[in-house]
Amino acid sequence: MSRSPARRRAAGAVLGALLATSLVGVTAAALYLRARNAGEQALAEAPARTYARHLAAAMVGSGAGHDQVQEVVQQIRRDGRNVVHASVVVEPRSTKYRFLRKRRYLAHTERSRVRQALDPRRAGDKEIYDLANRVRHKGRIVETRAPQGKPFEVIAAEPVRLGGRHVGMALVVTRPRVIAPGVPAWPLGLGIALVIVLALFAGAFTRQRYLVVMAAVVCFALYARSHLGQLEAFYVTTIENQAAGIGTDVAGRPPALPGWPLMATTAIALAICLLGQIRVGERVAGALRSHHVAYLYLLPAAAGMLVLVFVPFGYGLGLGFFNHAHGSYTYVGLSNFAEILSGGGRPLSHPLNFYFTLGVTVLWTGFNVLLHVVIGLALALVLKDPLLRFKGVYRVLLILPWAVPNYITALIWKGMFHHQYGAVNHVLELFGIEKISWFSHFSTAFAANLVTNTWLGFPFMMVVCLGALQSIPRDVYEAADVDGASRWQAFWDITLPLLRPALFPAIILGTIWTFNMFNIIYLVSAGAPGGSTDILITEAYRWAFERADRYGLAAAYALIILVILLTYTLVTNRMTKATEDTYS
Amino acid sequence: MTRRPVVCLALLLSTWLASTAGARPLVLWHAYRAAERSALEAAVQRWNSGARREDPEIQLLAVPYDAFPDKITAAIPRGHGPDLFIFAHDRVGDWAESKVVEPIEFWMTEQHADKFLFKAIDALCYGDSLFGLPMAFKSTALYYNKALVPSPPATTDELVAIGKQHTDRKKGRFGLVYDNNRLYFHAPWLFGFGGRIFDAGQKPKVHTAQAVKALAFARELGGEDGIVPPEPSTTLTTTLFNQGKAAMAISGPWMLGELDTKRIQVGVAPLPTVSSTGKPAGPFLGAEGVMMSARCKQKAAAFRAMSFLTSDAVAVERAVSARQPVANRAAWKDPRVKRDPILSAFRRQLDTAQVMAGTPQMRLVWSPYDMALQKVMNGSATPERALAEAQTEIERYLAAMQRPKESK
Amino acid sequence: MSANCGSSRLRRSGVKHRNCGSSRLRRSGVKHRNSSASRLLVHLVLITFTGLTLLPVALVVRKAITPGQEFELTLNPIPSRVTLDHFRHVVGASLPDGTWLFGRQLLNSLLAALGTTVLGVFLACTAAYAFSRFRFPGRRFGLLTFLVVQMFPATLLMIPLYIILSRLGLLSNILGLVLVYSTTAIPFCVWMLKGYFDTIPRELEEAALIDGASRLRIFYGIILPLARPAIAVTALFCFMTAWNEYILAATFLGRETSYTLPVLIKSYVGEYGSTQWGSFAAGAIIVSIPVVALFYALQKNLVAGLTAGGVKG
Repeated sequence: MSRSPARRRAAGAVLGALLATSLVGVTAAALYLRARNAGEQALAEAPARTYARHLAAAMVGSGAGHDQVQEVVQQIRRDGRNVVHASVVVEPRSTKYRFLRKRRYLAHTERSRVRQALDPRRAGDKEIYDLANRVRHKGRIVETRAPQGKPFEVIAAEPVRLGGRHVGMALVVTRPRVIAPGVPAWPLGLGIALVIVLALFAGAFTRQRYLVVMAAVVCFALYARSHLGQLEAFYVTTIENQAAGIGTDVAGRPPALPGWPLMATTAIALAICLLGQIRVGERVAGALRSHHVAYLYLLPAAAGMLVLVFVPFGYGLGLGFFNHAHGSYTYVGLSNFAEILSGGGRPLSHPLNFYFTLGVTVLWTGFNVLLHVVIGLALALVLKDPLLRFKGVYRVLLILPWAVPNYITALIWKGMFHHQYGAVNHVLELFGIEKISWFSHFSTAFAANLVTNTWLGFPFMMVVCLGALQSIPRDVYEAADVDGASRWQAFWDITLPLLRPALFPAIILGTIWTFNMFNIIYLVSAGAPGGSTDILITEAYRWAFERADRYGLAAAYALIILVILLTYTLVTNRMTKATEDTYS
Repeated sequence: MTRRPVVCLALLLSTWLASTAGARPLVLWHAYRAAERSALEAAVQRWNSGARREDPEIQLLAVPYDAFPDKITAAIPRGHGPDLFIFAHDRVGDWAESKVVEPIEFWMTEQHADKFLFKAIDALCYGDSLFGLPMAFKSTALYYNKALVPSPPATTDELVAIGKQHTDRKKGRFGLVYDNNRLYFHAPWLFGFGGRIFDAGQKPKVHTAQAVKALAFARELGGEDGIVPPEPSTTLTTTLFNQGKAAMAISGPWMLGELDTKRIQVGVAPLPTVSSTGKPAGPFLGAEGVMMSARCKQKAAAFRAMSFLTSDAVAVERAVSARQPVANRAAWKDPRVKRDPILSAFRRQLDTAQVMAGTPQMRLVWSPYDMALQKVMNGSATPERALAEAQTEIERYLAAMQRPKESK
Repeated sequence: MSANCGSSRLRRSGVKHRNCGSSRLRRSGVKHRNSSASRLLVHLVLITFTGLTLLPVALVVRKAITPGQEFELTLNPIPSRVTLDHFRHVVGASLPDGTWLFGRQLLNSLLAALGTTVLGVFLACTAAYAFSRFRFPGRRFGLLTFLVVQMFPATLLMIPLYIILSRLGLLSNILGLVLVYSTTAIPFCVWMLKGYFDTIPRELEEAALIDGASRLRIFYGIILPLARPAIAVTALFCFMTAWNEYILAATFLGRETSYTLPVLIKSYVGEYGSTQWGSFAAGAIIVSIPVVALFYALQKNLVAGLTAGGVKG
């Protein structure tokens, strides 16, 4: 660099200060926005909630006396600002069918509807009917609704019980004025982008300053959180004071701030530290300049992968931190992982224990890859012999296991392993061996799966080996020939090492695919006996789709699978370094 | 020059007319094949050709059965789903909680509800709301080969006796074949011995004395001296029965389409009574209903379409042409339907069938119970222990399901 | 190095060198003393192995031509009664208004598979060339990422893919499927092609660069022809991925005329495992034929790659 060290340090300090300020500003903005939105929501909801409770109390107090309740409805209409609708709905005891309830209005802001039944022909009545149903089961409901083109509404519904029996619902719909214009979210996004850009180009930082910055941000976040909690409390108290005017007490709690702004800030700070260590900014700029051809070649694939692979991938990774129930996801942190890695409280030999399944999966992958490669390579070597006749016929026939869809051939194989009627047992009987009950024991069920998957997988390896064998130049063999090497030596010392660059990807990817081979295990043994031949991927599937819809747990399983496979890849990469060194 | 405004007016008028005449069609997804599919298509054709001006047309889409629930769960919450769909009732609870299906009881009257068999329409209820109108009901029953078994057994003792007559393991012939590794097919014995899945408080309780007895009975049937072949499956059930290698089978109406009635004289009867308890072996009852998506934009019209598809006239057509056990009471009085002995047998079975609960808790029970059945059938556990283990598993899943949620 | 049997590339162009006969025999692994006996042995082993391998396929074929919709249990691959009804039923699948469903779905499958092949091979070739020839920052990371995304099971990614495709407006569209399939197939293709590109000596390119050819011409004119075997494998793999894929097609496509063939075939499987085995088997056979045809067409490239000039040594 041409600049002097002192100027660089000064530039670094300025950039650092900017960075710290923007980080702090972004955190504060995020927390403030969050608190403000919560406050606004509380402010909007509280009147409706209070009125509904008041109305329900009036109904109970008057024993469902129509006039008194109608009086209260009208009072709410007069007192309450922005009240659109208030009504009380009652229902008779249930008839022969538990889903048939006639509901009618006991009181209504529109006098014409008083004592009228909810009518399918009137728009909006069905929503009130369905709401009354939900209130019956879930208790009090407060919702906001922002239909397109219509103003924002708050709906509060309160169940009414008379003499221990549920008799109806008190409903208030308000249209609150928005207190202040909504704060858009884009400044927040811009702030975060600014932070990241600054960090990328702050190549002059030293390690110590980053730590200081991070510490400052964390402290500020903690302080801001407590302070903004007070800000929120202020909002809520104001509402309560306003609501107190109608004479009912309101018990409200300020909603808790979730920890995500704090975590996001810490994550950003950590990322910045890491990036700073490797001075990514300088490198990225330099790399873009000097290697633009390479990046250009890479761009089409990368763009497609980004949108269609990385984004869902990120979603899947994140899903492992949530618990899914009935279509809603709640954040549960690491508890999914804890549940899996601790074996779920089951002993080690139990099939649903993670380590048992992991052992089975490793065994499964190892055997399969070995068999696929050995058979595929052997066939490729035999079939590339120029003197062998009908090579083409053999090749086309041997590719059929790969060509016929595996969802039907897996079922055929399953039929062949049947204890009573299966072909395999018939053949065994011909040789005088007793019939085996293939799916009653782990070893035999595993063997059945193994045979099926080997049958399905070797054609692919054969094709890859055929292609790979073309990359070996003939003159190398000739040289070995002249030197007097035997056939076996030629294979071991020449063919195998030269085959590695082209074969290596197929083996690594084959390992990954076999590790995650769902179809065969699911269709052939279906995990029998007792779930012991299930591999990690089928376990994950069962958790997601067969036992209680636990998508979060399944995603956590998938994440663990990913970590295992990644470790394996990194380790093998380091050990073989196959791809580049062979031709150097 | 004067023609142009007239043309424009005509265009405007025709567009306006077209737009008011049932603008967007109602999309209906189903998983029917073969005869059931043709029957549904014929019914939809009748609706489309006789449509009133404000009734939109129905557009059908056939989806393969195993992709159906996932497709619904993926599509409807994102607004790309159908307006109506036909599926079994067992996921109604989940779908109702996730707001995938719309409650329709607002448009129902008692007369309308009376048209259907009570159990069928009750199956489509969840939490005191009705989520669909029943098209058909499906349960297992006892199929028997009339050439081998002249009259069906009325009690389990008779069943075992007849079965033993026709069992010859060496020749690969068996008296009875059914998938004894799945709770769905084992359920008749469970209910016949007085067992239940849920206790009084609606919590799953599978480890009971009656359930153990039922499992022991099933083990007798399927063991080494039994009358049921080892490792049975639904595929094997159809194959063995079709080839005359099994005298009796326990399966549902779906098997009818696969039977070769030229080779085998098929008879269907309600499942027998359990001799030791005197209770009938009642199978699980599934109701197939047409349900409305919560995101449907023409709900009233969709309800009219639903009512048409489940009306008595259409039900009779479905029963006659596709041999569907329909859920309309009046259809069973039609002479063409009454003449069909197989359909009548399924109708009689309905009386002792127990509705499968459509609740999320029920979905937790299948997998552990199936595993317990597998273990008992291949002899690796006693009924007592297998059920105890199943109970532990179910309780674990329940605990995870009811984990306290963090508030928003 | 003997001059006559010199360049392997020349050999691949099919020029025969008769004086290299004996060493060729030696290299093919057959001792030329017992050539005919051991060759007979090899043929016997191959025939047995192929026969055993083909047995399940033969069972599928038998089911496709035997009347009746139940699952057959016997081992004998020769059917007792033959009928073409199942094939007629599958091929004749149509909607009530007369649209020929099978034809439309076959077309959709072909479009999806060919589109995936073209797009996948194109994207993978360019990316693999970059990884193989250039040393740029993020190279190892990129390669590793291509592997890593394969490790995550696709069934859980269905919902986010659904959301992304619906935002892009590609939901009930063959193009959407082509994009998803191509990006799924790319990682293997990139790795495979990269490994193969690595074996092509750089001297060829350097010579061409000195002669004044641009990078692009080198890529199209020299590298791609020499990498024919790997491209054939890649193309076959992309085709297979798209042709046989079922669950994404069933979930994303919204009209029966947009379905692909695997969806048609799986529609013969109903509830509780009850399957129309005859139609199912006939459909499976129909679906396998194009794959075998494609393999047959690509075989020449796979086994005897051509050369376009460029002599080594």
